[in-house]
Amino acid sequence: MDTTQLLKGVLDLAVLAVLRDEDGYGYDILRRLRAGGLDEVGDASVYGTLRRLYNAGCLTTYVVASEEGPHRKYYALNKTGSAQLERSAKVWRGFATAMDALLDDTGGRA
Amino acid sequence: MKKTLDAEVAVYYAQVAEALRDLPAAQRADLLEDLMPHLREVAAEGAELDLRLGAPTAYADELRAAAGLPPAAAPTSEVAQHLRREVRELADHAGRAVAGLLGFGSVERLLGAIRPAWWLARGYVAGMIVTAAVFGWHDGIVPRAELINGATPGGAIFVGCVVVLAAMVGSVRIGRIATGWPLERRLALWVLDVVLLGVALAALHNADVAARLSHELYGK
Repeated sequence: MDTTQLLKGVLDLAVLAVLRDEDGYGYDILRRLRAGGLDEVGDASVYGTLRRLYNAGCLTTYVVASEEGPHRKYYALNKTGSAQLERSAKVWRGFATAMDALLDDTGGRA
Repeated sequence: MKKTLDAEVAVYYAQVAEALRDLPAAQRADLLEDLMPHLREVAAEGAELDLRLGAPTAYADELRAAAGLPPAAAPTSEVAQHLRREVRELADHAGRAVAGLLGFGSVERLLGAIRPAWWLARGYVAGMIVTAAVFGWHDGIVPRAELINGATPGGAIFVGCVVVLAAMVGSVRIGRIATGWPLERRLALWVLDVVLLGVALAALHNADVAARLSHELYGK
């Protein structure tokens, strides 16, 4: 099955999840997602998702000056974003449990 | 090395920006804001941008899709663009010719000059509609009233004329201040203008038919 199709539906959740414990700038968030096992995630998809979540009021941004390179814009979860993460996580867990059960019943073990 | 990296980044950035050209400026700036630092980071890792990120147009498509924006509109064909330009030029030409014939340098000047006349006419039509609604409909250029209870026809004509004149004054005043109105109010006014123009044409047609009929009946 094509992972990129699956990713489309859950990228919001994945981005919110990697921002839960620590704020991050764009490329940093991308690295965390890849390190977390989503290595097929597209760069543009992550940046686009960040913009959409920001416009939806789930994220706040602030700029941090860096000594070696250009200034970096950090993204952080706000209250709306945390609530969104909690809701989406619940939906995802229910969905994943249902899928697991379906696959076990039909013997579709990988 | 540094130089070529920067050049590669600049070219890639420009191509993504170009592919997002159809978006409103604010949305476009929004999407492009993180792009430059991102490209620098990728380039600094030693990856070739096209290999790592794919073609700039594909990157732009993915970016806009993930941001929840509609896909880029298909660029209009060159033939359609050419045709549109031709038609516009032709219309410009015709407009200038008509304006010139009437002694005006441009269509804008001509329209500016006849606007107050239109305001007066609009007010007249509106006033006639109001008096017709109150006193009953008559074909004619002056409000008439024969059926009004108690009042003499002469008095009603006077009242009607006052109403029509007041409507004309009001219409000109509205015309003067409407340029400062918000768009939706101006749109509403334009719709009203079109309706009034339609009513005026219908009334003219009516009067024309009535005049011909009376000529046929009594004229011989």
